[in-house]
Amino acid sequence: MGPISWLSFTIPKAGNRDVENEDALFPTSGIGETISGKPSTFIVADGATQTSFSGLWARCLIEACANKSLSESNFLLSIENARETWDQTFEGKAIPWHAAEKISQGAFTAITWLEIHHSPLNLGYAYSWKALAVGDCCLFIARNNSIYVSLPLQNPTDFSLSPTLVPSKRERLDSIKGNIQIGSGPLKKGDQIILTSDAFAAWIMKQSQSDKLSFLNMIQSIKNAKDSVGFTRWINSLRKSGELKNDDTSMIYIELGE
Amino acid sequence: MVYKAEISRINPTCFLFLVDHSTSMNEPVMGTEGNPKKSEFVAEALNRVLQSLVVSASKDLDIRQYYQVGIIGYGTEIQSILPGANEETHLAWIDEVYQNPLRIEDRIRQEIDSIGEIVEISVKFPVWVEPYARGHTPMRQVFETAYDILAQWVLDHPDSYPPTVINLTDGQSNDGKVTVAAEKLRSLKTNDGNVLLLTLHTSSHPYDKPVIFPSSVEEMPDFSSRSMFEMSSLLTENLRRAAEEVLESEINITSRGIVYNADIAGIVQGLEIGTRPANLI
Repeated sequence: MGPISWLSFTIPKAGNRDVENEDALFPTSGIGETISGKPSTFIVADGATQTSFSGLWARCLIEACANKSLSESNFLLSIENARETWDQTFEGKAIPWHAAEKISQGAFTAITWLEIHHSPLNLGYAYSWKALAVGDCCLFIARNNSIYVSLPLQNPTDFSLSPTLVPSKRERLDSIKGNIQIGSGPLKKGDQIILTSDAFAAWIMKQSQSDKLSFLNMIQSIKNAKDSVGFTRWINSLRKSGELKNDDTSMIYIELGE
Repeated sequence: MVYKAEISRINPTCFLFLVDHSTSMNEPVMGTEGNPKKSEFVAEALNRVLQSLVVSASKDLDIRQYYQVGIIGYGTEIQSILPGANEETHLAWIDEVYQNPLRIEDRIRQEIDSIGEIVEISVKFPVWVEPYARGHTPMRQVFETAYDILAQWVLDHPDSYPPTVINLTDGQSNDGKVTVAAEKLRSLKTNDGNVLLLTLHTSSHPYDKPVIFPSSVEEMPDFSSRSMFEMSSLLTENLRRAAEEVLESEINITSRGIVYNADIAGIVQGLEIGTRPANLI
């Protein structure tokens, strides 16, 4: 096992096709581990349902962030880069008037960007984390089966229908000023890290507020999912029982090893 | 009865507009620039609201079937006036509405660009409805027609957000027992709530005092308007929230879905509030 191992899954809401999934992940769906000493980057973004081409906007923003080191200035630069890519998608194309009107309103996405550094010579805390978040995609860090970091939201009641989101239109960028949350801290071998979009984040908060057994069961269920088919089966069972909101659902689960 | 159902392709909702075609709709709205006829600005407002519904259902390059729409004119005749509507149901899916305008006009719209300057841009303005005014005001009969249309719809969509009926008129019914017909229409329901009946009443006279979403029948000026108050549904929580946002004022929990003696802006706002998609997913 490499020092940082991960699995990531994303599925659309029940009833929608895969291409209609407006969540985006980095790394994309799959299982992997890092073997080098470079910082590891993980990102979850969730395009807003009410706007058009918001899944594309989420993907553009993730791609722009993924090749930069995490900082607020690089995040703002990434928004500029992503906007150029998003705008270029429509240039010279025949767009029907309804879509043109929606495009003129811009797209929005929530995003949480996590960077993990590995410092094997530091015996106490061999890892450290840094994260940046706008909106309601959440980062959870757990130690000894208990979540001790929850960013940017902490309670299931914090999820509103209108969170602050990253806009594709430059003239709306003022809306995120003061709403970019940044956190950092040390990590130990054995710490468990979860990045998710909002529906699954709200469910995790409810689980972690009950007892440690629920948390353990949750981690076991994540590991049991093994692949996208298993994850879809598990998520659909939670949706069917009413525990999980029917929404695009994405998750990256990270474990820290030697 | 919660009016909380998510509007989706699996559980769409329905908007049915009832448009007064009585001769008095030819009268101009005095005190408004250009003194437009009531029938003209109602048609213009309807075309705008249809455009808004199309845009709200637009997702990427597609239009999702979140709504069915119908427009019934009532005057000399009671008939569907929405191009592309199904001949039996008198309804059209919102993507069919998009595909069937009478014509598309090029208009100029002013916008503020990314550096804060006002720019004029050319936009498409589809026209589905033309002004028309001839005959009396057979409101009872149009409510009965609406009942026939929606009785089947609620059976077909038991878990949907219930249909919204918006009655655009400048007068009072002159075909009798309209309150009974309105009550029957409002009695139709899905598992999420009863059919909502909203009234947008307009006036020709600049000195008529508008009454906007009144919470008590005593606020209405005469017998006819009190009857319209009684016919109109209580505003749901979603509609109240939309009204508070659009009007920037508090709306009482007992407010009814009626705007009386409205000017052009009042009709446009009433349409915007009544068709604000709640829980669109």
